[in-house]
Amino acid sequence: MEIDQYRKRYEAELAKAAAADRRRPAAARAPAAGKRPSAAARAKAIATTPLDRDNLEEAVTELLAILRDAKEPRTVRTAALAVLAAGDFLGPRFAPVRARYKDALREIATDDVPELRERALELLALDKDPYAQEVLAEGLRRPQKALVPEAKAIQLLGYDDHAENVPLIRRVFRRATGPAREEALRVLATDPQSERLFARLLKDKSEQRSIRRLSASGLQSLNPDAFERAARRIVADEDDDDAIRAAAVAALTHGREARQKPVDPKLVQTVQQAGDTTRSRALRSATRRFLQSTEQ
Amino acid sequence: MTTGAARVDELRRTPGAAPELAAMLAEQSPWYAGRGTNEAERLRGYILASFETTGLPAEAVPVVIEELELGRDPYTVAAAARALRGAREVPDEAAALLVGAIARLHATDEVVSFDRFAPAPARGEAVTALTELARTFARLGPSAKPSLAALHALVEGDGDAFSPTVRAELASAAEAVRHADSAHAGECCSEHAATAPHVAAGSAAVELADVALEDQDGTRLSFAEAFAGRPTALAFFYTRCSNPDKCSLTVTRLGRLARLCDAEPLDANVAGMTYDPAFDRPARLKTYGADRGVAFSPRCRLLRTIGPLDPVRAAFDLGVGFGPVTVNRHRLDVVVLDAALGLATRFERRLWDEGTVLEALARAA
Repeated sequence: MEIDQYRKRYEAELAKAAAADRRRPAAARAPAAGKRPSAAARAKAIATTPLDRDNLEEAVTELLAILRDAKEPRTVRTAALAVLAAGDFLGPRFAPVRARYKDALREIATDDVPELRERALELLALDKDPYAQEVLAEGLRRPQKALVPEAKAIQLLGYDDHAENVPLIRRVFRRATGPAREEALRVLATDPQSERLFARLLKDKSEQRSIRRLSASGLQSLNPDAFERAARRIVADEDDDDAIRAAAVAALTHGREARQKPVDPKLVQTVQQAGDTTRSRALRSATRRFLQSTEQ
Repeated sequence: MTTGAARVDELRRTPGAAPELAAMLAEQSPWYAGRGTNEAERLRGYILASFETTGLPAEAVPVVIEELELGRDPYTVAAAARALRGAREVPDEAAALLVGAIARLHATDEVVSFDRFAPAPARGEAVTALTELARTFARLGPSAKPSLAALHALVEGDGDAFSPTVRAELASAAEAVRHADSAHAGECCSEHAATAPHVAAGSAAVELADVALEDQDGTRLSFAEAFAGRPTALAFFYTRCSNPDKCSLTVTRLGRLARLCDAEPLDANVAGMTYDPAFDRPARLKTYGADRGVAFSPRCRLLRTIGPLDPVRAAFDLGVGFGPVTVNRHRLDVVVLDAALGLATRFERRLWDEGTVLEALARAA
């Protein structure tokens, strides 16, 4: 579905919900005098009160005040942020309040509540916000200052492939373990200087399967010819991991189709042999699909 | 980038330093080398905003105009608006460009501040980019009157898209211009155009004949094989460009230009060359061009250099800077070469149209 169609449908749903909300008693949103609803009830009331053109300024002012107020319960502030973030999806309709919203996000990016911090940084990072990028990078340089886990910071910095953080992420990759290492590879898939790194990791049978898969995808994106050469060797190597061999065959199938390359008899033979000699269902299935694609 | 910002701070305090600040705006300046787009944009914005107090030198006017015409970053566009306030002679088109920028940025407005170099304004600073644009429009005086109708249509037609504060600023700006006294036009502005010419004449011969290139199909050829023997329109782009009015539009227009050449008919080459040869491999070039209506042929290609772009960048003095991974900033650059690979003319910084480049090609034939 086109984004505009999706947005229109979303707006229509919001308008319908807003009409229902206007019929609801005001107490559903504001605490009645002398009796303050529970945090859960307030969060629910906030979450079910959509923003629309009629109440935008007033409602956003109220939501921003809740979001910024460290004394408010975490669930209430989180609900306020969720409604604001959904409002931002409205695009031009949210425009009148967007500057104030973004300013608040920057403030919340260093909040004491980790979930709010992470969500605010994510929303800012999607917008390639320089402030968010700076604090995220600072957290990678000085982990004691990190506002979010290392893997999350790398992921968020990766939203901007024009940023200056790639050299930093190359360094982080060398020291990282687990999810941070994988996230770093995802980011480096846009970095032509990382081509050799991907080729080396893809070839390295001692590497984790997830790392080798990410390396295959990174190398294919950066240099399809280099990937094809490496993938051929992997497919032909009966000592290699069958899951990686299957992934290599699948990528060769897709790459050949996408680039509309002619059928290479040698490659067909290699793939045929891999399928004939393996016990791996995944590899057999991948080779079948490759061979079918060459017959079309 | 602290050193760049510190240098700007120093020049802001130095009388007569505006030309040096203007020189810092060149995309290929070492000040931007190795920086990401955000940081490069921020430094440019910081420099541009300085011209409000130092005065806007003539050599910086094309950059201001370019930013108002094409800029997408609210910070830098607002800075260009502030730069205009330091102009002794405001270009005729400034008011129309300000209205265009207001329309372009209305959904991405944000708080800006130019008092110090920081990735975000200090808490409590509440002036937004659109407010800066409105305030500059207000100061243009009578020269902005022809753009009042467009501003009015924008606010009336899409009034809900502006915050009450911005709406009030725009209304106040319109009121100021409406009542501006023509007799006092010279106090702020002049109706005299001060923009650099759209088409800058070139003179240097090109010595790139042996530079190795590869086209969207993976065909390898030298610069001379690609272009010698007939006139050439060569534009520069890269597929990762995030400004739709720059590279995407450039390649779309190259496709149209090639069709115009066929229709004339004019025996000419039409080509685009990527700034980002390590990333823009043939398959990527082919998809990018096809998606923008380019009908590839031996006379119409998208190309990359095999190896660094440096010789081409140097030969054409391209306005492009590079971060650690890709381009961090570029201007629009189109060169027209004659059949002997001499530089016949060039179009830079401003939006170009196919008809004008077609005429330049015909002259170079």
